[in-house]
Amino acid sequence: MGIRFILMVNKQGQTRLAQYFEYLTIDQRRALEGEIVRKCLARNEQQCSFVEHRNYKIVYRRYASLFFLVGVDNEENELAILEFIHLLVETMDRHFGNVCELDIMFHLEKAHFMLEEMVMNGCIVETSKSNILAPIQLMDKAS
Amino acid sequence: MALSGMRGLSVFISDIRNCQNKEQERLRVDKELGNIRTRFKNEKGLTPYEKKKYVWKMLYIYMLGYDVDFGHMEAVSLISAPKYPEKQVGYIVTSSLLNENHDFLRLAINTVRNDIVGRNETFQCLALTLVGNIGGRDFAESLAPDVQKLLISSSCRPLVRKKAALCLLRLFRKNPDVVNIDGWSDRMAQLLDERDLGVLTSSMSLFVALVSNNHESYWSCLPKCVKTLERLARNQDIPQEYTYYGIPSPWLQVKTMRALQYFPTIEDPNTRRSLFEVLQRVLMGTDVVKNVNKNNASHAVLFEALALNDLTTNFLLQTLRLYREVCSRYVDVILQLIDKAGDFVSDDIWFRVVQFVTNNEDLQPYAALKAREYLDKPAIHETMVKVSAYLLGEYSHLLARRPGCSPKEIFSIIHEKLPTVSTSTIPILLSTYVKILMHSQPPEPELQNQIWAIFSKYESCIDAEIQQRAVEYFALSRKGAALMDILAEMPKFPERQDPLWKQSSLIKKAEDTEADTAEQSAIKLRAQQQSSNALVVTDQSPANGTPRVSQLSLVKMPSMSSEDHNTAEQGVTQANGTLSVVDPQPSSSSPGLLGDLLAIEGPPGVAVESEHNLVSGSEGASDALALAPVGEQTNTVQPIGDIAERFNTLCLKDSGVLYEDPYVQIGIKAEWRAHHGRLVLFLGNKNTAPLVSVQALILPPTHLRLELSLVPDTIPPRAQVQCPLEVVNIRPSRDVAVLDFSYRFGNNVVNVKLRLPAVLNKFLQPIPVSAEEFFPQWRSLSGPPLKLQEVVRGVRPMSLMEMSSLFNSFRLMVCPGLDPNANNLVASTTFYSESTRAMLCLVRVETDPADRSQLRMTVASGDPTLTFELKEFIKEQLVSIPTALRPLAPVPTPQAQPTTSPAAVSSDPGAMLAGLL
Repeated sequence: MGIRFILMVNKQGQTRLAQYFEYLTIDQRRALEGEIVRKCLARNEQQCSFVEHRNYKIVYRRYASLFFLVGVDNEENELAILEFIHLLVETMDRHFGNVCELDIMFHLEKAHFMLEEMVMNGCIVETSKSNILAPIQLMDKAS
Repeated sequence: MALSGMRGLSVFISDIRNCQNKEQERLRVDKELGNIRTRFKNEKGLTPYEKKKYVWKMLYIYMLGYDVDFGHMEAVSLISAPKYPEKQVGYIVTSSLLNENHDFLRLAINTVRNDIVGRNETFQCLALTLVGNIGGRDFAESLAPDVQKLLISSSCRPLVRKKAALCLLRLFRKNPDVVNIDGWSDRMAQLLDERDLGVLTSSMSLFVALVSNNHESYWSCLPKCVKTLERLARNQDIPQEYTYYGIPSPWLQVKTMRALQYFPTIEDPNTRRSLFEVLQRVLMGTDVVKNVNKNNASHAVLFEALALNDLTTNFLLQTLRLYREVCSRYVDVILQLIDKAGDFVSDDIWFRVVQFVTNNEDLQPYAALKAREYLDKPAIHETMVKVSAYLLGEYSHLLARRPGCSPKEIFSIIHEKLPTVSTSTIPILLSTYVKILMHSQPPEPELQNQIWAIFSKYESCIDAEIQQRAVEYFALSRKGAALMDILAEMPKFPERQDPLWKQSSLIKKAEDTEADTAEQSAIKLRAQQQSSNALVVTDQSPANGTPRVSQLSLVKMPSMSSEDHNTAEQGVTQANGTLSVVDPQPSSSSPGLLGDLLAIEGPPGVAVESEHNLVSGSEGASDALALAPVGEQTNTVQPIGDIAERFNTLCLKDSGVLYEDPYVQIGIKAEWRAHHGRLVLFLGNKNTAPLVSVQALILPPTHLRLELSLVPDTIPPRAQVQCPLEVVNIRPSRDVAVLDFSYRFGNNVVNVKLRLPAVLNKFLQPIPVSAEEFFPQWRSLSGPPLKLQEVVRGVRPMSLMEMSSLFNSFRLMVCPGLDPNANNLVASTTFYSESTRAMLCLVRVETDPADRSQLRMTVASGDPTLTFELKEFIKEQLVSIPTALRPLAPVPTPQAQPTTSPAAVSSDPGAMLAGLL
């Protein structure tokens, strides 16, 4: 199935965005996020960007204060996911200009719109930044 | 911080952010939840804008990890809002908060459907995304046709179609029946022609899911995938927006390669060639660059291509015989593979290169040249050092006239690598040195001294393998031209065996044989016999007349000093003496000996010959060959080809060569009818002088009646005589008839004992049975001794398909479909003998897909002996004989069997066979 969830977590461990492509109860989510955040935030820059946790592989990348963590199943190509994270960040950057944690925090809905254009049902839908941003730009114009 | 006009939401987020601790956060969240709850409950006239604001707050709270167990209705109701902003929020929040089992979701199904079939494409996108993310079975049934329509519609824009593709994927997973395979394979193939890369990316994900479920139905899509890869690899018609750091959509490339991995082979040569070019481009184009993102993306593609490598390797092995020009590319690609990703290349891959080059003469200069080129690189992977050193040791003399390829230059460039390699590589390098020396006869004194100095240095190495090679090569290389014999190129590898066998033989070849070639210590021989290597090595007699690299031919070398002889003799004596102590269980005392021996597929005679060669210079040496009457003979004539392999082939075929040496060829042709057989032996004299004292005796097992017509005493020059042999099968048995054949040519007396392919399966007649015939029979044969069951372990790895064809080749007819379990196999046949007459035999094999090394076999027939013999026969075909069994045959010591005289031996066909083996 590919991507199981996408998390954005700051270095204090606060979740800034969570998108799941499989159903977990709120308790399960809380437990899982806690485990993953503890595991990944404790790692240093020299360590590998791929960590196995439970039945997931976590592919993560850090941008300033924000960690992007993507949980995938064993079928995924980790390097491709690692670069998909970067594509997501570049897309946000194109929209917000020098994107930072606050942009994502206060424009939660836009972050969700972008993700929705990029991933569906755990699969990558679109990798062209202009196509991803087109609906948001339309909305911005309308309002 | 004001955003999207939802001030309340911003304020709330700020408040949360300013909370000092978790407790404060909880209080603020509870307060907000209370507020939202009251609003939803009391104020019926909530505007869509207000609803939108509140459901975003709910989503935010949910994301923080608090349960939100109300307001779902409000979120779902927003889906029906007429305006886009509210509708969008409704869809997104609904798909975040709810799952497919929520009842509220069912309420929305009509609205969702209206949005999907409506004309507003932004609404279509929202609805398709929701269904794609959380749609359940009821969605699958009611929406699949509409979604399919959108996906293949020519009037629909890509932004809708790409979502329809992944929406359909979700519905397919919920209920595979919604995709009607018959119609879809063609549509899927059309979809893969898509120009728009967004639609293509989504469609490829859909395709991977379909093809992983059932690749058979989607063969027509395979060329399309390869075309897509070609388009991407060549960067044709790829909009700038879809290139990522100069790489055309790495994600689509990865996905497409993933799809290809579900196809076991590629049959169309053009498609195969195209894919090959793509892979080559990927391999060549991947370099380490400074930009991390580009690096990662290109390596993501590279690793996916490596996974595909198996597919290409397999098909290459099959087709390279036909496509000579591709040969060099194969070597190219594997060498590139080692170069780029040495850590991912297991030993068997480079063994395969060696094997491949060894078996393809036209490739040898090319491979040597390539190996030479790689050595020029500043830093190369250790595997590359191994494969290059091996190839150059064997074939660098083919390059001698090229610049930089003199023996001396080759030696220096390889020797440069020695300090950087691990202990396991050094033996290979030492072999290369001695081969270089051998190829430069007469050697340059300077090179020779250099190499000798290295051998001397390693003579005291702590690693036994290195030490031994150093000592032996040093001694050998002082023998001058005599080296040619022993260090000649490796013979070709037998093609017939399964890949695993090839690999293991390759390991032996690459690592043992070289050492064994130089083997002159009988103590080592004993060690080998005990550890079973000796026979494995001698198994590999050359199949094509290349110079025989006999393990111990060294002893025959005329230039050998008498000192060496003495050492060898002492060694032998000592070895024999020690053996009786060390190995007090003579194999002859084992009741299962005959069975074991019969099962061994090793060539009869070969092992014995080796021993014979070993001791030919020493008196009383025939003692060492207690079980081997062949020791009486003074055979110096070597057979051409592998006798055992010829026998095995003839067990399956009815005509072919049974035996060949430089003077004579024995061909065979057979016809079988029920329990009768008629074999014709074709004895051909290959020379211009007559063969005299020709004798052919048949040593029949008790279950066969054999009558050989008169064999003439002399075969004239270049003539062939035909000797018919009548066979009658009396009762079921796996024993084998033996032909004792001898002749004289000049001073050579040659005597060989050959198994005759009048074996059990020749008396089988395949017969198809229907379920109506099979089951009553099967049930009526209710148990032992007519129906025997056994769990067979140590089964050679093979697929069910391979097993079926193996059975069919032994005239057991596999009846597909009789057994409801696809992992089982049912076969039937009729066996003919005088005692049993025509008798139906039924076989059932139950395999475990998780463990191919074992299976349960049940054999049934109307005769207990037949059931038992047939069961054992099939077992022998299925089981790989562990090599540890092999030394049993030649090792028996004189002390253990002091009374065995040649006469006694020849009276008993079983013992005769033991001698043969």
